[in-house]
Amino acid sequence: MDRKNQLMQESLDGELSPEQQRELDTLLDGSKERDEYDKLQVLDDMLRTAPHERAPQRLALKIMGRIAESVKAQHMREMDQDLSEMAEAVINVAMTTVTVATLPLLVGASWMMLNAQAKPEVAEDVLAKVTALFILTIDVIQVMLEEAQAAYDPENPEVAMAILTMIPSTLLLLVKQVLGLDDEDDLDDSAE
Amino acid sequence: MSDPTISEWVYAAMDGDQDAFAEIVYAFQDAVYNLCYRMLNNRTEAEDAAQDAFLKAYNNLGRYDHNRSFKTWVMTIASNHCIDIIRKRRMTYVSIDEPIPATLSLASDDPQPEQVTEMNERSARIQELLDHLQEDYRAAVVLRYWYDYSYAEIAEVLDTTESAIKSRLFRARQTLAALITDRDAEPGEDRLSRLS
Repeated sequence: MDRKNQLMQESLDGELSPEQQRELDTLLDGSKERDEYDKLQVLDDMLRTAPHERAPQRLALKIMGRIAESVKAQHMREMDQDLSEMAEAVINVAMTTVTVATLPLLVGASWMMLNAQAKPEVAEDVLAKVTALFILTIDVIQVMLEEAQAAYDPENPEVAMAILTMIPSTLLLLVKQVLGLDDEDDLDDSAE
Repeated sequence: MSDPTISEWVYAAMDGDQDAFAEIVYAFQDAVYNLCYRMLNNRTEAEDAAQDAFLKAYNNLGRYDHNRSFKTWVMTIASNHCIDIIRKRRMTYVSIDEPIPATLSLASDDPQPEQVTEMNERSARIQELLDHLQEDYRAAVVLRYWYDYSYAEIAEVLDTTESAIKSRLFRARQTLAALITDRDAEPGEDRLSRLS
């Protein structure tokens, strides 16, 4: 930027001392930049006195409405994330519970069937008991899963999880009932 | 450093107090809207942009540096958003022309009809001139003239150096001055008499 342009800009910014203003006037006298300087001053005046636009009515309300929606949406996203994490945990617990509950039953039933082959006279009775045991197991799991589903509350998911964790002990109790065992008896004893 | 009251509102808003943020919006809505309007020359887009700017500010309150002026920070968000909009506009070849409405909101109360007419005409002419500038030059001019920002403040808002801003303003003024006509130099009364 040459001296003339620099002084013109500083003049528009109101930064010239009286001496510098005189210097600028001298430089502009009779020069072709005089017209440009005059136009710069007209422009400067136009811009300095330009009106301020006021915000439309209800702009603030619209903004606060959008913020409230955004906060709500964010809250919902966080809840969804919490729920999906919780649902995953519940499914894992349920699957593990069912596996834990049914595996010993399957092993036990297989063991009983193998032993029954050695004594054909009891095979029919064993077969009936094993079948009843499996039907009962399936029913218990189904009922308890339905109960857990009905009891599920996003605010309080522990209740549903507690029901699921009761499946193994409930099954054990029912098996003992079916086999006619006391609490002190061992399942291995009944198999003998 | 922000005004103490503004700082209190900001801290409260950061704690989730939406009423406190509403106070901030009321305090700065005119400034942000005017900036958006001068940048975009479209009232609907300016309103949307102002809303977006405040929403961005709210969602990024955690990033606000309390040693800076909150107004400058919000104006930074708004000007960057408007620059993005203008760049996208150019990419999609959307027209930015919009007829200036018959009435203009004015800072002073109840202006006389002839004052409104003159201001409408002047505002339209100014927007016409601003439209000739690139978005970052336009932002510098708007911040300088409508907000009386120093070169340093404009540099802060537009994330550049003071010398870059001086250069931009120099070129912007030269560009606009070249578009000034004799009619622009007429006093307001002469223009009004020619209109009537």
